[in-house]
Amino acid sequence: MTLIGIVGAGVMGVDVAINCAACGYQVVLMDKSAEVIAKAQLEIPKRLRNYKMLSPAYRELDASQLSSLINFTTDISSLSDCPWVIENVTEDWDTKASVYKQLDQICSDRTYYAVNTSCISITKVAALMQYPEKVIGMHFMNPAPIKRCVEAIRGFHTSEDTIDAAKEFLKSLKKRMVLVNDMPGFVANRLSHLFMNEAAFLVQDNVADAVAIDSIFKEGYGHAMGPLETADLIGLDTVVNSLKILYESFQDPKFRCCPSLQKMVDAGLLGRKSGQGFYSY
Amino acid sequence: MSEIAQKDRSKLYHFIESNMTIYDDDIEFVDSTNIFTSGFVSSIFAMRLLNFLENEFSITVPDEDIVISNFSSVNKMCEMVSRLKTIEAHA
Repeated sequence: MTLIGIVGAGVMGVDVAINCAACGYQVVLMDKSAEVIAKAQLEIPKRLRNYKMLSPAYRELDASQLSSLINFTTDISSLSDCPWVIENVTEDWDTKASVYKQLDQICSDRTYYAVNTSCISITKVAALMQYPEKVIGMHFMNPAPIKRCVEAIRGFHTSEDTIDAAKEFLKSLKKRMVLVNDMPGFVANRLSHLFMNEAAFLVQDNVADAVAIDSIFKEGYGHAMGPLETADLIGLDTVVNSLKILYESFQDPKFRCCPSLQKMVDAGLLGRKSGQGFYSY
Repeated sequence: MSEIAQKDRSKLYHFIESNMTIYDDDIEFVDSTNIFTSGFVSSIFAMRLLNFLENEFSITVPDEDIVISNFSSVNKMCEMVSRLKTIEAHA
């Protein structure tokens, strides 16, 4: 049975582990924190119950059977024999760099690396590795076991062999890979943040209120959520931070943060998590 | 079969309303409204409803009841909670 290595046992890492095990893979789920690993072990049966609700593919799965396919560890050297390592650690460059430097020492030239990120440069990660052609971005969407689409990112050095292997691997996870090139924000974050920012400008300019803007987006264009309710869900502080990264990366005024959006963050209006954003909760 | 008290029903309404993705004042939301097909909440919200019902009503929803149709309206959820509480009371 093929062994899949997963680094980082937070929300995303656990979800990817569930997805891989549900598709018949043996999984090594690694996190440097014993506390996080212990929590992940408890979390898997709970999450499986949730996914039973949303996907017939998970309905017949037994929690103990699924857990038996996942080995939990704090030892990164357990990943040495994995043909695929999917890394899901925090979206922070220093944290990611530290993990990849260790993986580079442990794994062989047969290992493919999937960087699960919405914003970190795949090319920059690959530059840390002896075999940069084996590194590809895989931006899994939340919740990973349910969402079919994966934004795959080709770094500067990513080889065709790695892209083909990624496509096959994701197909085996019942995912559809959409391949894009490496630029800050890739496609998903770059597009979504422009929509959210422009929607904030529309409110600021008194063109329409939040309800009207989101209604047009949903009822007119058929999106599941409007840009402002999405911003409230993500957290307005997170949206502002991402806009700043995009602005700094491209030096393009189209990514300038809407002043009233910044003002809301300054005032502590952060969206759902603070109880007030574009909407009251 | 045990009845779900009005105050518990109100809590359920409040939880759904605070997670709605539609904010119009003139929507009709009654006990029988299918909250998913009406577009009030996304299907992913069903996962949070499962946790909410289990915590709020101190029940464990068995795997065979974890189907979206049991969570599609206030009536359906109250029926399920009431049934499960009756079973637990007699266990």
